[in-house]
Amino acid sequence: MSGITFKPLFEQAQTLTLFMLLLAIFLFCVWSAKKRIDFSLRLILVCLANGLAMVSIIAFILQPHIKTTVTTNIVLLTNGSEKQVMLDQHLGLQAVSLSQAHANQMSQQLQQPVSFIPSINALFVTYPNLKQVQLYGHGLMPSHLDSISDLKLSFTPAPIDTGFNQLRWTKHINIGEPLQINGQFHYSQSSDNQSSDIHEIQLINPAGKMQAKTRVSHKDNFELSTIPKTQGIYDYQLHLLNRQQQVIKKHTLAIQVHTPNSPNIGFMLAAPSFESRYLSNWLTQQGVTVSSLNAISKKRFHRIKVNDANKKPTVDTPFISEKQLRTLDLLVLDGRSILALPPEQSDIIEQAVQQGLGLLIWADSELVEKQQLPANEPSAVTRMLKGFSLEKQASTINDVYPLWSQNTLAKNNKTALSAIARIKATLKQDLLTDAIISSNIGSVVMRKPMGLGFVGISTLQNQYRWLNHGQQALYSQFWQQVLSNISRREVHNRFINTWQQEPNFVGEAQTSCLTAPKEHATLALVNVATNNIQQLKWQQNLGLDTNRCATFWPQMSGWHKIAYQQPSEHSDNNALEQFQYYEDDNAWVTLRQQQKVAATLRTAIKSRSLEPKETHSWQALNKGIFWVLFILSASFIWWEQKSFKQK
Amino acid sequence: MSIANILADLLKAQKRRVMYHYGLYALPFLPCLAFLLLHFQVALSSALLFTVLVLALFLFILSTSRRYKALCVEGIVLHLNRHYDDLQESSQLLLEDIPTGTLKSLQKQRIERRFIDHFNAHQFNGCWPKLPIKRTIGLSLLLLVFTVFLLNFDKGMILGGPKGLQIAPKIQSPISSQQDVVLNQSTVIINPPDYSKMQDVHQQLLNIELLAGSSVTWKLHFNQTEQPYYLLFNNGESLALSKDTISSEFIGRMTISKSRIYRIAYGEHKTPLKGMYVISANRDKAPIIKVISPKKMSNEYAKDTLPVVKAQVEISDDYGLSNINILASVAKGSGESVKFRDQEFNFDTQQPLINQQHGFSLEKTWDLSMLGMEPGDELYFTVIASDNRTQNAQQSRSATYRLKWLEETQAGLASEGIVVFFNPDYFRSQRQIIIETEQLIADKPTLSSTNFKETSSDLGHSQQDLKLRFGQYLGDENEAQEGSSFYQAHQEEGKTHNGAGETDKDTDHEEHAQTHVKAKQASTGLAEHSHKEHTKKEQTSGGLTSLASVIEKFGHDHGDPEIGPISKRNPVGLMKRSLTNMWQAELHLMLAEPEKALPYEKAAYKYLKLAKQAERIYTKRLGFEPPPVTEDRRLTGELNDINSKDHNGFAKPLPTQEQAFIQKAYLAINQIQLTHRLRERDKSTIKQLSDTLLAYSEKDVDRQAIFLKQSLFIEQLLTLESGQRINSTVKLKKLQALLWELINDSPVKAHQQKSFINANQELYKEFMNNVTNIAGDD
Repeated sequence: MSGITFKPLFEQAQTLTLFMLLLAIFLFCVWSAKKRIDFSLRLILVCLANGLAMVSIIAFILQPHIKTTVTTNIVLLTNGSEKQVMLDQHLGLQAVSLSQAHANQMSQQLQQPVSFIPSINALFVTYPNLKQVQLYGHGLMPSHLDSISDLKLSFTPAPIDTGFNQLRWTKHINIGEPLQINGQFHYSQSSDNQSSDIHEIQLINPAGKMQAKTRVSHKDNFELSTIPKTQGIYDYQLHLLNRQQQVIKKHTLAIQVHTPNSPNIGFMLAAPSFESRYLSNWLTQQGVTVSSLNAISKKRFHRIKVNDANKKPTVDTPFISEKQLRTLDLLVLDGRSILALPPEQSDIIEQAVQQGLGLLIWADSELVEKQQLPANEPSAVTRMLKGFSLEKQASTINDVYPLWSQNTLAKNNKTALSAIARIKATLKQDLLTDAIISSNIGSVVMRKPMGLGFVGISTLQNQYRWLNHGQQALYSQFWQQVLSNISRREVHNRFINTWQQEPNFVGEAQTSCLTAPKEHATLALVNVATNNIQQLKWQQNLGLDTNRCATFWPQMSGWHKIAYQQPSEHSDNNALEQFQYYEDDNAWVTLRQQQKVAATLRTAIKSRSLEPKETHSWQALNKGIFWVLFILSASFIWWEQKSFKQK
Repeated sequence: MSIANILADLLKAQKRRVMYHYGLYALPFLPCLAFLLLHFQVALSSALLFTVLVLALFLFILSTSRRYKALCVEGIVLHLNRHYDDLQESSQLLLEDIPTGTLKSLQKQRIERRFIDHFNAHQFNGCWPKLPIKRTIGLSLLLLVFTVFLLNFDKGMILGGPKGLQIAPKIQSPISSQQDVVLNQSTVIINPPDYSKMQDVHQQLLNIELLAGSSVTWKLHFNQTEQPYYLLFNNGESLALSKDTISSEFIGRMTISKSRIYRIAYGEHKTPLKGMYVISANRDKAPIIKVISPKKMSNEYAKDTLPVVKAQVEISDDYGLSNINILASVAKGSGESVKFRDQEFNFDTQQPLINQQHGFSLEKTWDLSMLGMEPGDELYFTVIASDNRTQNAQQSRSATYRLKWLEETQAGLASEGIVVFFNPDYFRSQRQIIIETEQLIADKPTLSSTNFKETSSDLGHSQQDLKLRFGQYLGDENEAQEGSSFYQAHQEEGKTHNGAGETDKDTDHEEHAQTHVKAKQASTGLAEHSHKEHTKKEQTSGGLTSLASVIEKFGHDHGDPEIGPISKRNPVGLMKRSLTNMWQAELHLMLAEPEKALPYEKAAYKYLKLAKQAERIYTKRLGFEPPPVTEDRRLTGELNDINSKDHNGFAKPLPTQEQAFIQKAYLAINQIQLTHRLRERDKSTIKQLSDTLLAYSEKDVDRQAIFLKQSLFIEQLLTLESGQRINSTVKLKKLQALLWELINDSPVKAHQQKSFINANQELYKEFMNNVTNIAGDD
């Protein structure tokens, strides 16, 4: 029910005085007009004009308000709503859109006005009493939904376009590692007139040539992989083709391929073998520094070092020493050599592993035999072997086919190896013993953490058979898998690679974390194309105080460099950098739509319990109206007086 | 003349006079306008026309003005009243129609007389203001001089001086901008090497395509002839052009052996002109030898045949052949007493090929007996052809063909009137079959249909021979022939089986089968085979119907190994697969479809190799067996005569230097793509890349144009200033794509474990904080 109210000032004395004064003026004007003019229409008009002028002045000063019913329920049209039909009960409501172009389009489509709102927060400015929102289209991103989480939300999702959803790929890989892309294909019936939903997905390399492809239909999961050729930052393309082999979608898969730091590996074996020889050859061809110690006699050794440009050790320098082991990233021992270690050497090795050295033990029959026997007293060797149980076999297990981390080559491998035993973990789950390489017979390579390092044990034999069968790639990937899981960790790369494997978008919050950054170290975001530098602020990490993070919102798409710079007094790696690619907001349409729909549906379900009430509000009348009225009435009065005088 | 007419004339004259005035107002500015137009290189006629139009427009606008329209007769008479006193301010009476007999009419008459007197005396000429013609002209000249002075002020004009106005001579400034030097005309003369017998080429284009070794003459004509000119090449060389005093052309000569990019430069500092040009040097190819006959690489001739062999060869070259001969070796004897004798021969006949300019068809007839050969001897020959390149003639060699004169008579097996020759000891290996199939596919366009089919069939027979050979070792039951001992034995066995009681035999057979199955299971894990069902089937089958059924009944066949699971390492299984592929290859070869047969042949070859590698049997050495060395005794010996030693070395790295450079260049180009700028530190890499691509263009003739184009693009990039934005995104992408193709697949590398998140944080923190200490100790 509408009405007019006046401000509380009415009770105040000043207002009363003003009212009395204006009334006096009015009465005087009417009296003087009566004196001049006989009672007639003219007199009536003059009196009315005076009265109107008086009322205008009063209203102008007192600012009356009017009671109105406010808008608490609106329809928010997001992208995709153009494909939908609005429900009848929503047709009379106020419709808004977050894009001017979209608002215009929907206005034409719905034949009713659709307002443009620049942002979600502006909704509350325009509709301060908003309680309920009817959402159409693909919905909003989670960050936008936070702003309207207190409102009752009902959501009618639009069909999602044909494309990829749940897409992930490895963005930071070392050279030689495969680039793996996993995702799911979504087919939208409404977006395509074809009855068949079978599409083809192609992985295109930077040269524009197809690298891999697969056929998918609706809701099929797919996986593609390839091995990038060189280090650097570049992008592959993911093409989606329809049945007619027409490319309907193109997406960029940006990756950074790192040149890994070559590990320093030492071999100390009871006897040389084909395996160690082939492995040494493979390592040294890549430039890896390999040291091996071969016993010639009781006190005579032959030490071989390949690719070491720095120092020339002498034979008198012990192979197993704290200093020497600090230079190694991985030490390989076979069963006999580890069992024959004197206690002081095994202690040194254990301490080195605690400090981060990786230890790989090639199990042999002797180790399998001796590890079954109870140990008299715990020793370093016992401690290192604790947690692994080698199941004794009557003879070597043949027809072993190793498998690891969805490796395609391993899956298709037809060359069988042999293993001396199966490995089982005896430690509890919380000690993080895990299998690096499994097989059809069980785990054949396992590792466990020990301090900062890892101890790994392998029962596989004759991996070099892969080389003999022309499977160089499989051989390489196997050893890459083993070494990258057991060898010493990189100490000079402080970046914690928690980057999500989904695309990163402009305008969304991104976080970069580093391990134990030095005091006064800085972090900056650099746009590679424009060289624009944005300094990032460290956040206080309430959890683990060794890690520090910085959150930022990239404003431009393309490649960016996150540069870590520590003060020059620290000699180790003053500068580190990592590259990241940010997509435009209009990239990966289907993925974004799917994210929005899912997030909005969740929010809508949560808000079901909210019950909005109808609200009224008092709205001030426009002062300009009263000003105009006053001008008009005063003008009439002046003209009347003038015309009278002239006569 | 009536007064009204006079007044009308006066009005017209007055209007004219006003227009003249207006024109004189505009006059001073018109020359300035015209001069300005001329200064800005507008044609004279256009400038004058424009000026006149401006004047006309100005006058037209003024004629429509109120002031001009206000001119009327009344104004005229008022002006006359003021100028002539004797008109007594009454001239306007002349315009009125006054009736006679009034005072006004008397006055009018008096004024009329005086008006006409004045008109007759001087036509009222003296009462109008004079036109300021002189003033106008003076002002015009002044404005004109002022305009000229302003426009030419920067050219160093000097005013004043004792002799009046002096204008200093124009100082000719030295040529400072590149745009002043213009290449007016260019002529390029290409002289190919004499041996190619190609005509000289005259062209105007500076992009040149020629035969490597050609001599090039440049004749360039520039607008500036006072300074030196050079040609700058991408490899740093420069060629100074000499000036022809008569024609003022600049001439340079050079012999080109490699592709290169060049620019024209001028001046002492060799400032390059805009534009880069490519010299594409095509290499002379080596001769191509195609042996038409004999078709096989190894040919045998029976002892009692006349060993006359005809060899036919087609040799072609792009520019000509110089020397063709046959290098033959005769092998006499056998075993350790074999002797070789080398000899060179020429072809008997030589005919030019119709469809090729420098191609010949040559024939040689071998009479083995004339060569001193006897049955049992062999002749190996290869054709060698050299082209006519003057320096470093290129030579090609054909494959080596073998002609064997057999020693023993081949006995034929007569079977139902058909003489069947046994297969000779030598037959094509699988590898040879592949080679000859590929050759057949390549020769298909030139061979006749009959020849093609015959050759394909011949290969099919060879494949069949090979298949049979391997098949018989595998005990392929389909290859068992009648008359063989195996068949006969089983045939008799079958009769025995049929004659005796079925029950006893079944039992024995069953026991035997069970034992056999158990043994089989232990080794290969095959499923159990029920012999009861097997024998029951045989009982119901009604006796022998075919050879296969006999073998199946009595040959203890436990199923085709191919059907059952085949061990991955089982050589028999691999051989079976190879045979399967041989079957398919033979089929397609017999059908004259070598393209379809080739994949099967390769697959058969692959499985053959795998079968060889599948199981290697090592036999134990017999003889002295030393006692086994236990671990306790091992390495316990004291060896004082041997010292411990160190060995340091470096392994040959992968990838190669060339590959490493290509990857480095890719990164540099990638950097340009990302930042749109070329860094100083990448310039040397990019420069080296240009040279590398030029080298590739000579090796890879098919993609020569691509390599040259990209090399040219790189040279253009290098000419840009430091920090200048590079917008050639599409070209950069193409260059990147080319480099990507040149990069080999990267080898998988060993690397350290990546940094972790979940670990003993305190320990790791302490470790990370002390990492400098750890590094420092070394």
